[in-house]
Amino acid sequence: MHQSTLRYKKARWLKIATLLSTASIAAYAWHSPQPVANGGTWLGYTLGTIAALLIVWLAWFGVRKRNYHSTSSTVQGWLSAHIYLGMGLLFIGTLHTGFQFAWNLHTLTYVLMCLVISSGFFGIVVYVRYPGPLSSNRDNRSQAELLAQLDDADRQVVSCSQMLDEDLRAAVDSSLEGTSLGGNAWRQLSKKDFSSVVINDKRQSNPNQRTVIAHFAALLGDNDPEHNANLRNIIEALNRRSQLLQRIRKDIRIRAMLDIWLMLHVPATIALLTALTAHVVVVFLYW
Amino acid sequence: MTIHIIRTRITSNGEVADGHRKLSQDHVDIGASNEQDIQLDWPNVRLRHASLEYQNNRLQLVARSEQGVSLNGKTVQQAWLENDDQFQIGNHHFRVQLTADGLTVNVDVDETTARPAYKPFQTRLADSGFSKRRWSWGLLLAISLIFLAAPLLQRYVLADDTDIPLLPNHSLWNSGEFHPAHQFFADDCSQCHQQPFAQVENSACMTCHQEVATHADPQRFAIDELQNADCQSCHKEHNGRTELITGDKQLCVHCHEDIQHFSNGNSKQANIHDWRLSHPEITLLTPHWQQDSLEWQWAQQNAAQQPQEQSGLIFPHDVHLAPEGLDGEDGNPKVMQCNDCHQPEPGGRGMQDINMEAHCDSCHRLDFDADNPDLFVRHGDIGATLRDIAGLKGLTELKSSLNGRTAAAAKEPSLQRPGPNKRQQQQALTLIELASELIEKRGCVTCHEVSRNTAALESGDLISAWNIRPVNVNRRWIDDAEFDHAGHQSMACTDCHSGAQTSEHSQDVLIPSRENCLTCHGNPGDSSLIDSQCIDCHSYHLPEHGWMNTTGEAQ
Repeated sequence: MHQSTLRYKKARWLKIATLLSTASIAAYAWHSPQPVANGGTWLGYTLGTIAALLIVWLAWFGVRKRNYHSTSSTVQGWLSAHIYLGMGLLFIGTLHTGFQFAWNLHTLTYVLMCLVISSGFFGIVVYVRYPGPLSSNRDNRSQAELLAQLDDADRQVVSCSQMLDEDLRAAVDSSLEGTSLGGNAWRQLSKKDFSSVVINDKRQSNPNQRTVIAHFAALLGDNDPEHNANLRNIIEALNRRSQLLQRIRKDIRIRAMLDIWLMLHVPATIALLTALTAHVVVVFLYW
Repeated sequence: MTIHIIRTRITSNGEVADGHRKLSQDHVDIGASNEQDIQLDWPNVRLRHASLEYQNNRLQLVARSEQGVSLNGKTVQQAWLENDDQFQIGNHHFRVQLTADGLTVNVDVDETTARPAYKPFQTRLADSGFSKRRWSWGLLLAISLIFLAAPLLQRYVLADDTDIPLLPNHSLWNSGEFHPAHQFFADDCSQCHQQPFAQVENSACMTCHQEVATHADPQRFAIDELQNADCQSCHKEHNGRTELITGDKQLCVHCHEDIQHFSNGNSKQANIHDWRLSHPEITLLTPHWQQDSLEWQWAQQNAAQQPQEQSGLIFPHDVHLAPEGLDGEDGNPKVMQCNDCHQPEPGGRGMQDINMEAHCDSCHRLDFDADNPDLFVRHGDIGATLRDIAGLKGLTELKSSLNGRTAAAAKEPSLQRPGPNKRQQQQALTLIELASELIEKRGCVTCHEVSRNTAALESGDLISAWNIRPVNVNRRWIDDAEFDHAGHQSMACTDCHSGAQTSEHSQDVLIPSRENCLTCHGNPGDSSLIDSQCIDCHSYHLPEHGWMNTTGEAQ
């Protein structure tokens, strides 16, 4: 995320959201609800109405950002308002509850609201923090290009292995076959390398290809210069591949970080809109 | 020149398919961009990777990127193409066939091997099976079903008390814990929420609360808000153990700050908008004896002049609360405390009645004969007392005649038929002296207002000869407000009843003034004072004014 989104028009929406939140807190402090604070007092209904309208408007950002023909402000302006008013919603929505929580639809709606806001806040953090590392890690290459390089590196490793004995070629093949990259959401987000290699009929973990490289390095000796040269070639090829794998793995992780919050933010928003609708219906159904 | 392009690729179904395309131009661009004549999808392919140029009846391959192009196994930047030459861009294999006239070029693009090798890796969250759309739909359906559809089904389609295992019910809509008083029907929402999209009606409350006192006399105050108020506007449920009664003073002040206007001048109360600044002095209800009847009079607390009462009891507080104490039963001084007499009733709200036997008897022993210390006056029954005295003193005839309430006349014996003899007259005189001593000089008169009824005495009616005024110790000084002693237990009695230790006369009213209350109780928001609302002292529902029209129908 470009910093200018947060400072859009001299942080106009930050000021508006701060004003709105402060006014809500002041009203809550001034109000003397009877018998206790909850969503059913006049201030509770007022804050609830504002919060509900804000939720719908904030969710509408998902539509607005896809509407390329819209002339209603810029997407950057909408995003800036989306961020700050979303944070303000946390105060307004919380005050609307009167801090009454239970195992019911109403608290579920509040929890979903908090989940959407917190996931959005996480999104802000990753969008401020990760684009730089992502770009420098890729070094002006796309992930597809990195993967294509990996394909080349695989061929080079296979090519180098042709000069080795059969059992060593099998180890190389198993290291290629056992290379783990990406996978499910957890594996994409994890820094851990789940690669493995089969050496001497025994499958071992092979983080950053260190196991297979160490295996070949241990075979280096003074007796056979040609064999040593072949070993050094394969070690060099495996090292280059290992560095590339680390770069791709970091790219996958950063991309996953940039995507994961939205995986939560969007479904939670739909869930929130559903729960909010049910909440409003039920409140007036059982008025 | 005409370039005939045949692209052979593997479809998504895994089948091999050919695509034919003819270009009538001398220049063909190849690359990843969608502006290229032959667009290739492969990671290594640049946006503008290479081009084919037809010049002087010859076809030239020109690389547009530093990668060059692999032609017949060698990387070149530029080369003239011959028939059957093969070059590779990414994993796309090109084979060139020139026709004999040199005007048509067939380019076979073999893309069957152009399947990215990285496909087995899941490198995007979207590839990992996590779909925002799928999760969104799933949550939408789940929440709709669990929190709306299923409870609606149970509430409005099935019988309300139908409990189907695992089927979410409308308890999920319960906005908060019930007040303990309503907990017993908490599972049945329809008890209160009888109509959808309508506020709880009074008829629901009336199921149990059939008679609810109104606030003011409907004959004098024809105010619709009083007679037809909604119960739920003041009594808020689903707040747990919090009081069901709304305490906001605005509910009262709404009318009482201009009560004269609201009541069309029928109210005798002053306009009031808060406790500390505009509440009038506390008005007390005080007993006063007029001849033989007790009257209740209003007396307003006034700092300059304390109200007086007349209960019929003679009780100097200063004597009883003397710091040095009183003569105790065991001969030692007994320092009395307030709660020796004033003991709270169960619950602690008010005080128990004070009576002779429980509170006075231990000190004020009603023995009347030094030779018989175990004989006591029967408190409250002067006839029995006179008979006891007569019996004790051997005035046997007099004792039996007192049963008929008429003793032998001491002054006019001739009134008796067949007439008292001299002995009877002497007995009567003796009894009168003994009774007078007990009643008028050292016994009853200590605590009671006693007067002699000469006419009765002269008529021989000894029982009516002394008038002992009944005692009416006031228990309720404030008529339209409540004071809870239990809520003030942390204070000493004399913090409020400050005159108790110095009051010499029973007539002194020792109820504290409003000024005393103000030392602790302030308006909501007053610093260092207790937030005090109207209903802390005053009730809304006053049975003396009749019942509310809780049906909601216009009266």
